[in-house]
Amino acid sequence: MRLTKVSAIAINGLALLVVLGTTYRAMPQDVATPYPKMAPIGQYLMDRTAEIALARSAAPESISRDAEILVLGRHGYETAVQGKNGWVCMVGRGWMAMFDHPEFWNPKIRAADCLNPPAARSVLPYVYKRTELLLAGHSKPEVIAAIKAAIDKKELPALEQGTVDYMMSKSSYLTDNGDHNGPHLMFYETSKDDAAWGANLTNSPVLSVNYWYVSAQAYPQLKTFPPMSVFLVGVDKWSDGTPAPPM
Amino acid sequence: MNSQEENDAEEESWRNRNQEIRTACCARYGVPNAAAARSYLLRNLKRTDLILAGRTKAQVDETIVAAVDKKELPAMEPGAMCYMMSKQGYGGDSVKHWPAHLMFFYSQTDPATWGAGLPDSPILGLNDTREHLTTFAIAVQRWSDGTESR
Repeated sequence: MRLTKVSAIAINGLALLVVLGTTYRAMPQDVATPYPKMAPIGQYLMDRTAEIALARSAAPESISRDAEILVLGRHGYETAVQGKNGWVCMVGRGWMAMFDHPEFWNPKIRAADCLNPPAARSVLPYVYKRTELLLAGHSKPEVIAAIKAAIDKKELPALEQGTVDYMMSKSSYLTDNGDHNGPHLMFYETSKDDAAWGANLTNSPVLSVNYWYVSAQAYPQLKTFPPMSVFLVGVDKWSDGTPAPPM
Repeated sequence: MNSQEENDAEEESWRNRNQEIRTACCARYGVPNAAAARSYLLRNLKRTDLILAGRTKAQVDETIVAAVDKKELPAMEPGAMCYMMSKQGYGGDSVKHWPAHLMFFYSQTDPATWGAGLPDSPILGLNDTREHLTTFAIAVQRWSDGTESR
């Protein structure tokens, strides 16, 4: 995966949003978005059986068959299937993107993820909190303030080492742009710096974005959050083992 | 073949293979992959010194393991990783030309934590319990010059 081809990205907390044609650093921040506000809740919900199947498809069956499966309800994520291996699979929605991402409220986003145990323990609590507050009708600034307060009070955990998030479903819809999808792995790190993994350099297979924001202009408080970067590595097959087109 | 002859044959085989292997690993100096240079790379440098000094494979392994146990060689630092994307690498007689890949280094982690080695997983995991080192490898789609690797 090269920046020259996949020339713009934004990774949400659990999803890759690929934007072809511009660089992500030049992406407008929370402006000119076709999705300025939350759509009716029903547009974000799925048939329960279909959501379970989509969540499982994020990772090879050898991983997801024993994973806990979450589904989105009207008030947040709920456990639909108990797991046995510590992994958690779910379908992310647009609001797991950075707070100033243009597709934050895109109701079409269906981003299947399977998180390994360290990621499930240390990333998912942020997802739950964000989701519950947004679905309860809180504004983005209110959600940001609540998450910051929870971090300060240590109600939300520190990021663990060794986090991996499989996003290899053929059926995800990650963005309105390009092919809407692409199989990849994501790694959450406390590093502030793209250079940590040689990310975003010419011909590097690693892409990196800030977990919280694109620019933080719209929501400056995000700059006070603990640094969290998401590193992404594209892979050459889908979760069912079939080859994926080059990215 | 007696056990001494077997050992000699293995030693000879090991040295012969080593003459051909050229694997290019780029552990970037910087933040945090100074981590890789400060941890993983030190083991390789020590191993190389021992081999060039004429030590046997068993002696090299023993010395490295002892140095790790005595903390003369450091544990892997968080975020230690390595690019192996050269077209010109020679990985050994069994897999002469490895696909382009990234490697990640951890101190003694269960490979299953990353789903490594499971059917259809894109991650391979190697666990060296003596060196307390777990290595993950992920194939990538392009060589370092940007051309497709498959």
